[in-house]
Amino acid sequence: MSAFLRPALKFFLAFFLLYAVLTGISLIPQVGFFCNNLYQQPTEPILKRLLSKAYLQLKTDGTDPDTIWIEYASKKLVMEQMTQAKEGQRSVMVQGINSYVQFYNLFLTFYLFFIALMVLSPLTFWTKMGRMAIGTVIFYGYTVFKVWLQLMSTFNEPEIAIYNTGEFALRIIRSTLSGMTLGVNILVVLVLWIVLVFNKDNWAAFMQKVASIRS
Amino acid sequence: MPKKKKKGPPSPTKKSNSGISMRTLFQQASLWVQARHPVLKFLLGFIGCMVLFYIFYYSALYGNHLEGPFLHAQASISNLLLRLLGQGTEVFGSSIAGTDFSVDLKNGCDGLEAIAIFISGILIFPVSFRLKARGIGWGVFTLLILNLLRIAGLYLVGLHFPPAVFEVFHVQGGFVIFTMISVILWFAWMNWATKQPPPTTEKE
Repeated sequence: MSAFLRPALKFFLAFFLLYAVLTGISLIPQVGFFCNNLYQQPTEPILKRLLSKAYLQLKTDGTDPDTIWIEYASKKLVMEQMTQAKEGQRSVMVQGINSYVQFYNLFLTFYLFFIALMVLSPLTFWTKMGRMAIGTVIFYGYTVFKVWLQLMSTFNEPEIAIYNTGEFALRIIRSTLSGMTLGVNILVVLVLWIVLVFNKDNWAAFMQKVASIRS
Repeated sequence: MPKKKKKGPPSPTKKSNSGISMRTLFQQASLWVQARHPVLKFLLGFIGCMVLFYIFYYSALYGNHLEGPFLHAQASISNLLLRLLGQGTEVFGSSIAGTDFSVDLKNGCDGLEAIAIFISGILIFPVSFRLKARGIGWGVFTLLILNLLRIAGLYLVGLHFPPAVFEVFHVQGGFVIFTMISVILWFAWMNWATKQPPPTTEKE
């Protein structure tokens, strides 16, 4: 085996091992719940801000760390019911609607993929930490964007009708969402890794190594 | 000697702080792009190929005419493997069903996204078409075989383990590891392609 393939294979074997360990740890329920809650903390205020026409709340049910429940209701509807309640001097029960996202498929599985790739990348410790932080923010932003698209699509359903987005914009939202598959999640992580790890110098060294095998 | 101040419009740099910061940001972005120019060039080619793939993958042509037969073929061959292992399974469309468990192959279980990553990597690598064609042929064949093994393996995992374990093998094993295998194959092909002698040109 050549000097080029050997380190590549070594890298990927180390990757498999690290990824398997990280996945194993993430499947411990306590770890799963911790990560799930950690993800929800900044996500809830962001989504509330982005979807200001809805009351929404993110929560876990305490049995499944893979599920993030999103409970929502139309602000307009709630206000109307509250007014009716005040006028009629009676109490009104406001019923929220539940929807959910699978946390592992949305974020954790692919984030661990990113972490495993970054940990094994040939960068100095602090550079690695810095790039990992940047990558975390970008990937997190990507997943929140995906949840936002999903909620926008749901909120435009005729029976929910919290939003009434134009047909063209809604079509863009729904086609973008349908394109954001698990495969695309992987692609996003791979591209992010390449952008964050490689620069002109180490890329040139990499290509030179490839070229040196030819000669 | 003190210089006289020129009359006229104020210089753009004195306009506002936001103007300066925007320029600095632009300069920083420009430096960042310059430092990564060859990487970004590679990425643009790679992403371009993947975009073309996804346009085809989500097209009516693939969805209406190719997806069904392709998934059925994969289900049939995986079913054959399972029957060789003594499982009494049957194929219904894109599903493999036994008495206690069944798997339904969907868009995404076909392994095509990982194959597309592999092909994109090959297409943008600067070697001859002959080497690319051989790489694509062998690589795609290997990945398709591995995907059939993955489908059969997933059926067995689903049959013998709880749904949570199945889900781990489905997503982590299915997507992440399978994609990484396609990247390894791409590296292996690069290694092989760069060791091939360049085509000889006859001199008169």
